[in-house]
Amino acid sequence: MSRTGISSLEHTLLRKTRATNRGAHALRLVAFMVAGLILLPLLAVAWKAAAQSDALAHLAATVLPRYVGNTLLLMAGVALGVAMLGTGAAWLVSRYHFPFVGIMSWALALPLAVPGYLAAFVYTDLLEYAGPVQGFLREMFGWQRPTDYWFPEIRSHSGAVLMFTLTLYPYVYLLARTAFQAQSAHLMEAARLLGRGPWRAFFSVALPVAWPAIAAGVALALMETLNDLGVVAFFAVPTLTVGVFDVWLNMNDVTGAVQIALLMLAFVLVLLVLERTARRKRRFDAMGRTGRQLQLTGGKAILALFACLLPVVAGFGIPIIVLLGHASRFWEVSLQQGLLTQLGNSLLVASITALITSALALLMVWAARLDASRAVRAAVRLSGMGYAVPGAVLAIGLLYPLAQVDNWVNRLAEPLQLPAPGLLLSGTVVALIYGYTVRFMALSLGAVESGMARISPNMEDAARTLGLRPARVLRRVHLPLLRSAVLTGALIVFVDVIKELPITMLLRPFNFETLATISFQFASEEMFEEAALHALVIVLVGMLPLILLSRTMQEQGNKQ
Amino acid sequence: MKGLDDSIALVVASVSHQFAGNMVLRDISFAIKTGTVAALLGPSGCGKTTLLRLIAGLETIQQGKITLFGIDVADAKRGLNMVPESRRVGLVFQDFALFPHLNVRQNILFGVSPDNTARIAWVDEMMRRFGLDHRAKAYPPTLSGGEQQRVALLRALAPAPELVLLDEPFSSLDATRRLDMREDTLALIRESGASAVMVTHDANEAMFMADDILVLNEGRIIQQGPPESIYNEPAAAFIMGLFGHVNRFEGVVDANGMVATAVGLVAAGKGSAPGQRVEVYIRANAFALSATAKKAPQARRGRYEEMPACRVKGEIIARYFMGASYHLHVRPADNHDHVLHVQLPVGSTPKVGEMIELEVDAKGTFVFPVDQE
Repeated sequence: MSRTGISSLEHTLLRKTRATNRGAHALRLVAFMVAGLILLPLLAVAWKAAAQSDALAHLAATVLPRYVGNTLLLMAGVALGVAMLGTGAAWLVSRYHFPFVGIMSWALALPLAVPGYLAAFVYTDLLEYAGPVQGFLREMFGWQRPTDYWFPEIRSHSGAVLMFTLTLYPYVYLLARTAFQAQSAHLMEAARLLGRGPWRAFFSVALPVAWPAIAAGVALALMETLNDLGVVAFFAVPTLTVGVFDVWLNMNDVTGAVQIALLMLAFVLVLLVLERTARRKRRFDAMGRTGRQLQLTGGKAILALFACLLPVVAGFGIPIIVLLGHASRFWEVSLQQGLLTQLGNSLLVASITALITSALALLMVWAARLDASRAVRAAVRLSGMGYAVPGAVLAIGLLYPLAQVDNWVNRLAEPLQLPAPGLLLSGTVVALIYGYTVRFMALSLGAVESGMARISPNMEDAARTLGLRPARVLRRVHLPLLRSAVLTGALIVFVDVIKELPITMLLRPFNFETLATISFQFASEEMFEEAALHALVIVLVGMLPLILLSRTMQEQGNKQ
Repeated sequence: MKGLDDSIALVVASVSHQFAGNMVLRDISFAIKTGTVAALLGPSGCGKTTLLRLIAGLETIQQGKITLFGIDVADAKRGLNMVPESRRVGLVFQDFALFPHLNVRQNILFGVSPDNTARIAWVDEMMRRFGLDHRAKAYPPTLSGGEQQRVALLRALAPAPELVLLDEPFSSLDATRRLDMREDTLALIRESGASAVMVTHDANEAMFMADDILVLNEGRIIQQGPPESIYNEPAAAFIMGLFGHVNRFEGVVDANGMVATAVGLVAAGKGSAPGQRVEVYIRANAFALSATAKKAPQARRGRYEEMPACRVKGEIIARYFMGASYHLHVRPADNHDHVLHVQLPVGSTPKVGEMIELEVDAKGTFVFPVDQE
């Protein structure tokens, strides 16, 4: 071979090197763009709020203290409730053996399928003055008037805490259960041998080791609490979310609403820091042989079973029985209310969002795999921030940029002598899906990232040394290995979009109703029965990820 | 893809590499002849794996140049960094990195074009010869360690690379499987006609497998040569430690060119000057029982000069049975501060507490100057 031959060969190879780099560059740009689009609503809130900061003083003098006080009180109650219920249940099923413990360890996650607002509707239905419980009591004791007896008011602050605790404790339960199971049984045994009784051993060893997981779960539950609009609006608890909604839509004061939204972001930041710190610490979870569960017998076993059954019945059993009862009587009315159209709308936005978040997550995670630079990693991290941001904040943050784009497009149409297209983004399904994507991107990202983390980097190195270009490596090695992770992520996003209420309420196009908005609307008008079938469909769809969860739990069980 | 000079498979020239400011390779230069099996031998963390990954193109070169069969594949000065898929280098990963979603045959044929019938036939033949044909449809997690190792090796060899790299290929196998797999691996590499570079921290493995050994320590090459010369003429004290137990003494060269040690006077050898501080290394297996030792009466304590060179008396204070040999701890009669590590064939049956006399084989004795820091 001649020298020129070699140098031309070398040129080809250099070109090849650069081509590969170009691919990585393009991917990196895409990653930055996605992160930018996800962060856009947050930046818009911050920018708008900073531009008109004088509105804050007025708010602070009027409604703000009430909003903040209520929010803090609510969050404190929910934090305490989910931490105790979630940790207690997790400890019981991971440490003890009693009848049906296998079923219970799965069933305890079931309330996750019931959105807080549906639980609120159901319990109001049951416990209000005209409801069956009070009616039964009146009949039994011969009471005539409300003044004859005392009964707790469900549509109250404590009622809201109860609703959130019952539907959100599974966040703590699932994370704490994993942490307890990962804890070496030897830890507890060592503590016992060193003279601690079972309770002291729990509080001095098991609980501190699992604490990061519990804190992460509490942080997630509080993010959901902060996000909620349905429960607090229905129970008339004026929290910050209700504040955004009221100030924006009822007082027509967008500037004020933006100020409140910014304040909510401060809350979010605290929760995010809590969750991130906790998650970092969780990496040091002790891994070791898990010991045998302690056998409970007789009264103790029944007590344990009852303790596990209580949250499942209250958070899932009662709602689903009530919904089934209503749905069986009012299903024809539900169909007349356009159930199929609303179901179609829900399915449409949910599938499109799931598709988008999955594709974007794959792109982002692949970009980070090819280019582990700090910038790309930060872009991935930032594009997963939306899950912590309340829907009301996202909605108001999207309002400005989308309206701006619509303005530009319409102004551009004029000189081009095209008909003005009107609202392309704001007030359309595009805005709605944008909002969902920002909020639920993290779920897809998390699923794909954990799937990717399980693929050893040696896999792609092996494929490269066997002659494959990076794009082909993705197709032949990663995509097949990631398939179930991507599908899991897509399913979770799909389900969460179906359950979602605040973003849908605020960003949906005029007359665009989904299962969630119709349930809320009918409940607000005291006609909840007529939308019971809608609600039932939401809960049933919500159970899909739990079926997946039970399968993974079974697989883990088989491995042990 | 053959370059100007294909009698040399691999040239690594002045390669240095660092991770986050930590130098892992320092000015590494060497060449490997085509058709040989070379071993990079060194303790963990000495940069062996990084060197392998640089050759494969899995790390971007920072300094120096790498040439495969006469063609530069990486050159820091020119910004040349040929992508791994173009280098035609096979790599057997330490954890094997088998694709979990593909079965054995799909794994092995991953890098072979479906049109390449000749190569597919070769693969099928090799799978049969190495006992993988009945496992063709099995998935990696169901394979034994030895089977996984053969699949990984065959997968790396299937695209007919000219150079195959092996990263600690036997480390995940148990000791008994390891011996068989060494032979199988060598046979397969010879069969494929590829040159090979393997990384190992096991000196015995390197001697068994390689025609050419490169000893690495702290990112530098300490010595390159055939196994015999590495064993018999180690270039540095560090290399001694790779081949089992050694006894180390420190002393000063006297006017006669001798060093006083706990086993007697040892010749310091060429290149040493009187007054120089040296380290003396004696392999545990360089000792033998003196022919007269058993019958000899208890000798009186004497001065070193009166003793015959390299003959030592001592008491056995511990004895470990090693199968083919005994490993003894011997306390010299003249020097109670020292404990000698001595390896004796099983034929002799020394007992703890017994006094023995040992002769030292000069071939197992090495003297190195002490580094003046």
